[in-house]
Amino acid sequence: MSLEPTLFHFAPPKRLHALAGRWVRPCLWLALAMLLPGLWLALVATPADAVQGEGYRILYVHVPAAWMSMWIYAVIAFWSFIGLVWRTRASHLMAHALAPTGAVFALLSLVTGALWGKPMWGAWWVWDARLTTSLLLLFLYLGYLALLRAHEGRASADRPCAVLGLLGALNLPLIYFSVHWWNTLHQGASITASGATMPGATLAGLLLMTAAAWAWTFAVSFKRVQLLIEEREAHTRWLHSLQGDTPNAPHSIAARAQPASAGGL
Amino acid sequence: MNALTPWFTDFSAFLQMGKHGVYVWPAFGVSALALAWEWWGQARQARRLRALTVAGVSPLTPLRQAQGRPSLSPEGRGSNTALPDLLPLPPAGEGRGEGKAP
Repeated sequence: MSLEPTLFHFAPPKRLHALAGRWVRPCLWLALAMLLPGLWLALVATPADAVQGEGYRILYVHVPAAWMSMWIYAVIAFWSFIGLVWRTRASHLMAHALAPTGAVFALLSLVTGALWGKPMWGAWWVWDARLTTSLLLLFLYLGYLALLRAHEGRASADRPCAVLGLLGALNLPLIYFSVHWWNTLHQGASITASGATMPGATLAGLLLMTAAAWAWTFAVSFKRVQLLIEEREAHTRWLHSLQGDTPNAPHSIAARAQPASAGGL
Repeated sequence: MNALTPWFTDFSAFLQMGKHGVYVWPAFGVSALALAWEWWGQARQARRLRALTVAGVSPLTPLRQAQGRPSLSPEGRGSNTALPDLLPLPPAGEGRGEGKAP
């Protein structure tokens, strides 16, 4: 079986819109199903760390946020590459839809890191290689979003954003290997290919919180890609057929939204 | 470790988290707020899209243009069309960077 038809089956925005619409709610429920036991383990069930005391519990939000900020940028780079090479509009739209969520996680990784750093290192911030490259990642996200906004979300933003997405991905190995290449205050990886240097319950909580973050990312990016498609394809007949009979068949996100207030524009 | 047994003996110990409650709770709180803000932003964008659809305005038409005012989009910038609510354009050759070099 040829891979190409499978790969490009969802390239038309109409199909991507339908696919995304089907997955928002299941992903949200999945996120909640992972989050609740994750929070239980993080805050209630697991004992204090022998060295860091109760402060180590910040790990359950800091590490998933940091991982997600990197993985999401890697996925943006992947979609950017596909979009540049095969000129598929859906790939660019997926990259645009992921960027705000990645920026939120990058910001959270820095803020929660500062909240962890203060009691453990005695400083909110140090110009450590890991922290500096993570800050650079946040700036890359902000640059991507600024570029998208400068083009008012039009298709003219696709190629410049894709180039930035690909170039910015060079920062990812710098973040990951920064703790090996430089003498940093930030601790090294606790989970490697050879195993994890943390108790099983802590690892289970961390993995549950990370899975919840992934499910959340899928949910919000699918919802956002629907909105982006509805903005760009507002002139198309297929979208009008979704929106036109709003009282009976409100299938688009805009059709389901409550009417804006007078100042909502 | 028993997964059903809390590590704390009373609720104040849970809130204090040793001496680290002032760091742990804001970390979880700011994360919850950020994700809620992201969701709210999407709902707001959907409402805006809905309002534009109802008004019959293309969502990608800049708001200024939708209000009957000239666009300040990248395409519109640099055009020689006078903007009614801004300063009138100077005569040709007297604009920024045109002629009259010091």
